[in-house]
Amino acid sequence: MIGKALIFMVPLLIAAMGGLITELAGVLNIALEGMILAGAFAAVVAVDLTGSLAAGFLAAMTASGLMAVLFSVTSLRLKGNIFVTGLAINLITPPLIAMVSKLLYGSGGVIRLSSGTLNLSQAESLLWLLFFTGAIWFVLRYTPLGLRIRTAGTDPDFLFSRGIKPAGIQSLVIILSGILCGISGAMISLKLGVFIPGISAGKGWIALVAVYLGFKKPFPVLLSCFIFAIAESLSDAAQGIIEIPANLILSFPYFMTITGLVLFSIAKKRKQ
Amino acid sequence: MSLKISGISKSFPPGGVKACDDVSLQLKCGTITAIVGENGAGKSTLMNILCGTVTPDSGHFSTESAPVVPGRPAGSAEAGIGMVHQHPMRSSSLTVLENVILGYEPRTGIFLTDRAEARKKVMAIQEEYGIELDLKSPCSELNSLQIQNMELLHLLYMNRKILIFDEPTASLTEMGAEHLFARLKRLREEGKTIIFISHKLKEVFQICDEIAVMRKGKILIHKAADELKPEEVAALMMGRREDINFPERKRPEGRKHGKRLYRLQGVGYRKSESRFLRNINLNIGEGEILGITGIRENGLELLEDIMAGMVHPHEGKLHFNGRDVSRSGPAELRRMGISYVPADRLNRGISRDSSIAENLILLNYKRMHKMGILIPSSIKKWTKEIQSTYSIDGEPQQPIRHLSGGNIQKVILSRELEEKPDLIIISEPSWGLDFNSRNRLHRELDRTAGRGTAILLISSDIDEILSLSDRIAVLYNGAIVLEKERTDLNRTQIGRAMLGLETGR
Repeated sequence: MIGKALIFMVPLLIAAMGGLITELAGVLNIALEGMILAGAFAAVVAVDLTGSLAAGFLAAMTASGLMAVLFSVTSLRLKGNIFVTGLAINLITPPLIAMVSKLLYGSGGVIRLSSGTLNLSQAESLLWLLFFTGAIWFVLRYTPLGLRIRTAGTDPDFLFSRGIKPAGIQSLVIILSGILCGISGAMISLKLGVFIPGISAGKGWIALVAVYLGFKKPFPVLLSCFIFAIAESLSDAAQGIIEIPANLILSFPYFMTITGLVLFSIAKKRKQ
Repeated sequence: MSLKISGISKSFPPGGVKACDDVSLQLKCGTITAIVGENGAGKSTLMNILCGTVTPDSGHFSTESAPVVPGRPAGSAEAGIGMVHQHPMRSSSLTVLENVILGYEPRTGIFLTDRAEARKKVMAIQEEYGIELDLKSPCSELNSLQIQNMELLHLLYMNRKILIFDEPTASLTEMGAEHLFARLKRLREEGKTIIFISHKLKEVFQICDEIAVMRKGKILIHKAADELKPEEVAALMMGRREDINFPERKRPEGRKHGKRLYRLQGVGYRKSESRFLRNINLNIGEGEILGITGIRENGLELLEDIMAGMVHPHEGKLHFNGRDVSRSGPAELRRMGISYVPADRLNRGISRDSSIAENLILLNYKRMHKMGILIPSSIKKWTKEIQSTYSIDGEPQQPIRHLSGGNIQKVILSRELEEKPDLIIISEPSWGLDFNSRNRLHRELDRTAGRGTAILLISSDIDEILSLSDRIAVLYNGAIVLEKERTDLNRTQIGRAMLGLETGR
């Protein structure tokens, strides 16, 4: 079951790393969900057209990256309220996908790939998890960019006084998070070999919760992603065994999320 | 590197008060020059111009190598000018080393921070100037002295040659100051040009080679320190004025006041190394105006907070009408008949986004509702009445932030006076007011005291204190150094006491 959870948590973690860097730079990134969905769709379309997995990932990164550019321009350059612009990204993505899908396939629904699905083994999954967490940790800790990302969130005026524009760092980080969400989305849809509307299923939101639950530090975020993944695979396993309505079992990960948030705020209060 | 300033002028707002008026100065390499002056003399504006954060209206300044483009922080930085601020900007979540190198990190390749190199460079500077700071410790653990040292470390890391210290001792203990002076001497030996901003004359004479006195935007004198006497400098800072007459005052002088109403007994409070009060003993009777003055940062704000019930004293007692109110909060004090007009009017005195009427009824809305619903007509009627009594501009429904500073002050004061308090605590009442609103306010306070209300006036403005008070107390370094009847005091004595040069009670 743990092995299953590992495979399951790769896309969640990658999105969470995107959420982590934006959160550290002082951007409330609620657009994760929409960007994941855009990536998932673009990946399936690209693989369907070319048959190459690499093209799928590339298309996903591009599509989500473009959504991120839109998000950063509207919120940083045009100074829109970041909550509203982020929500707008989430709301605009599903109909946009439906429209493109209608143009390409004549229907706004499920797109099934005949071949070219992604198969991740447990070992590979573990490797990817450690790679992404480690890379983000390294950048944050050992590079000038990491230092600037951390300062952009806590003391933007201080950063500005040293000749660096916080908004520049923030838009860079938003676009990076978009690219990460693209990878995350591609993994979700290519693993199943199918795109279904709403396939991201709240992963972006759970990733954001994992960021807070992990105290905005890379490895603790990895741990909280793992807990959510366990919860998800538990609910998968329980579906056939326990006689509880399926809907209730499927809601288990979300129940875990709420519990996690409550525990987090209690821990935070204790600390103060 | 030497610095030449020629003909710098700056007005706030454009065409208004001249913060800097044709300032010219020559600062020599390897000297410490003090720039002294009262609050608002224009020192800060001049320093901000040198740092490039304020653009002068006219004039220019140059180092010996090249003229500096004014109004550009980067330009001033390139010219080697740097300032150690009183409250330096920093990031508490980073380590000391990260704070020092942020924005100018040495790199290996294009992507990686060269930590070893950074550490080596910073530690070399630390050793040279004896700056003891643990580079690995988080900045949040530093005290104010260490934070200033961290900014100095950054400036030296950037190899700045002209260093401005903005009241560096304001938040230091005596020991800390001694340390700082030793370092300043070391920097002078290295050939740095140092500007030392202060209004503590004792220190200025202890450490500086040259002294420039600023008042009302002008440099009055610039001489070697040993050619000047402290008394002479103090007189120049304060300005020699004829004893002013008090046009606003209608109450008789030297009158016996009613029974003792409010008393501070041995009040002490320690907020940090620099913000503290020691053994404050004061009392005030009915119909009396007690003026408490001092230079900011000497405890006025803290005393205001304690008397208003915002913080509770660590030692000592506050008595009002014979009751111990040391632990009472603002609401309780208000119920007992103490009103409070804060110095920070925009944040503490009003609700900025609410209307004039809403701000006016904050204290007595309970008389204007029927079963929990406010009655607009009675609010409007009452507001109109108040507005005409105190001649406050604006429509009742207008947001209060559209009003001028003087009108906002009138809104607050009228609201407080309508409660018919026994004691009013009023802090810096004429900050941001023009001459006429100031006079009107003074007349109102004078009338109020004439009706038997006690007024505790906290103000760093000597003229205001002198024209209104019956008795005057001067705070210096957290303690009352002078307390006398107004008739026994003159401007010079108060000015000297504010600088720590005179005591007596």
